[in-house]
Amino acid sequence: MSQFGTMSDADVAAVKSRLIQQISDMSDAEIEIATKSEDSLAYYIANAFKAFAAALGYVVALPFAWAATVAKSLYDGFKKGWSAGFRSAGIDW
Amino acid sequence: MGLFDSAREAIVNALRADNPQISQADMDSILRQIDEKIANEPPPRVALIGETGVGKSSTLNSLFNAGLEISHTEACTQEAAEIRVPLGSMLASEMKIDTVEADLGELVVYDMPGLGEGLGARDQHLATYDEILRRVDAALWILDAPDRMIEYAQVEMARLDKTLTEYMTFALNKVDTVHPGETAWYAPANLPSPEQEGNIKLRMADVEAKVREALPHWKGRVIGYSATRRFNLPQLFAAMLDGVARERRWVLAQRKSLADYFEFVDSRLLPEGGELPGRTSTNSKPMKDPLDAAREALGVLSPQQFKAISSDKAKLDEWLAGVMNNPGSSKDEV
Repeated sequence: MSQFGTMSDADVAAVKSRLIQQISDMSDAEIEIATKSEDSLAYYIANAFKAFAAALGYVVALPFAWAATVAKSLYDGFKKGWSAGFRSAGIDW
Repeated sequence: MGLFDSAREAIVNALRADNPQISQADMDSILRQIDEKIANEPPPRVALIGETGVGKSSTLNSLFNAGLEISHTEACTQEAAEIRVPLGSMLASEMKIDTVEADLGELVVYDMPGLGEGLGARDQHLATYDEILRRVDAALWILDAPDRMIEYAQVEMARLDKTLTEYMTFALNKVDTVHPGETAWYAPANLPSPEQEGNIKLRMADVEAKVREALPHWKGRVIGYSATRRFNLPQLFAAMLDGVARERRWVLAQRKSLADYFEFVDSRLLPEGGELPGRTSTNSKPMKDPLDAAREALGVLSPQQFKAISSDKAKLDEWLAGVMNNPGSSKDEV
């Protein structure tokens, strides 16, 4: 008998093992979401930046890696929620 | 250096590197325009397709509102006016377009009845579905896991424009009710029993085969989940993002507020020390039922300690309050 009623210790160990697998699957999915979101934000910012700079006659050879860096710093705020992001933090740019 | 300062500095440096002559006024203008563009980006549009009772509302709540009820919805008349729905049809009465104030921002939600049984004037309905699927950022086709309704929809989904269904996510809700049923769900771990898990996999494979039969070009995923158990929500959200255009994925992800799966897991089963996905550092401590904590604390008291506490009501109240507010307290703190 274990602390979980009629389950044996071996049964509890098996449940824990399945729970660890579930946590691992959830982590993989969260990483996938974060990766795709950062990529998306980088793509969006890079395009916006190029378009606005070009409209004013500037040429910008913007490397995507740079946009990705900017996107990551913004996304780190977004993923904690909009309220934790730069907007409601009162950071005005 | 704050979050935005670092981003702004990187933007300014990139501009100056390629354009040393840039004026401060132009620099400010570009930065302001980027800011305005982000601020004015329209909210994500999400279509939830499924028969009544498959759990569209609970799915929405579990993905965007951390398990809370949607606090405010408003009929989105402007969007509705732009959609050509056959007047007086069952689709017109069943379809709803709402602006939803979710936990982390606004969403436009298209609540659509499933294609298939009951809907007359099929060509007209297909045209409406076609139009809506072109407008939305993401679409979830929600099915009741134990149900076999997908057979009805197979023919109709094949008639939709294939670009609209290429990355469609088929969301199998209520996996906790798959045979042998809800009693087979192992609640302390918030997991299906091994037998139930096997049946869920079979059901997912069955749906996948049927979708592939109807949509040979399909590259999406079938996800088994339970909105009410909060099971497999990150997997569902990740699959949904696949179908979103690259420049709009961040808008949807920004609204992500998944209901906490671990709130339904007995903390004694969780691995110690590890980071739990979806939890921030402020809520990473697994919740423990205060009554369980009291029972546990009582179990480790010596007979003398128990007598000392139980003979004095004030002392007992004080001890109980301490245990329930701090479930980790030991008998040494008695």
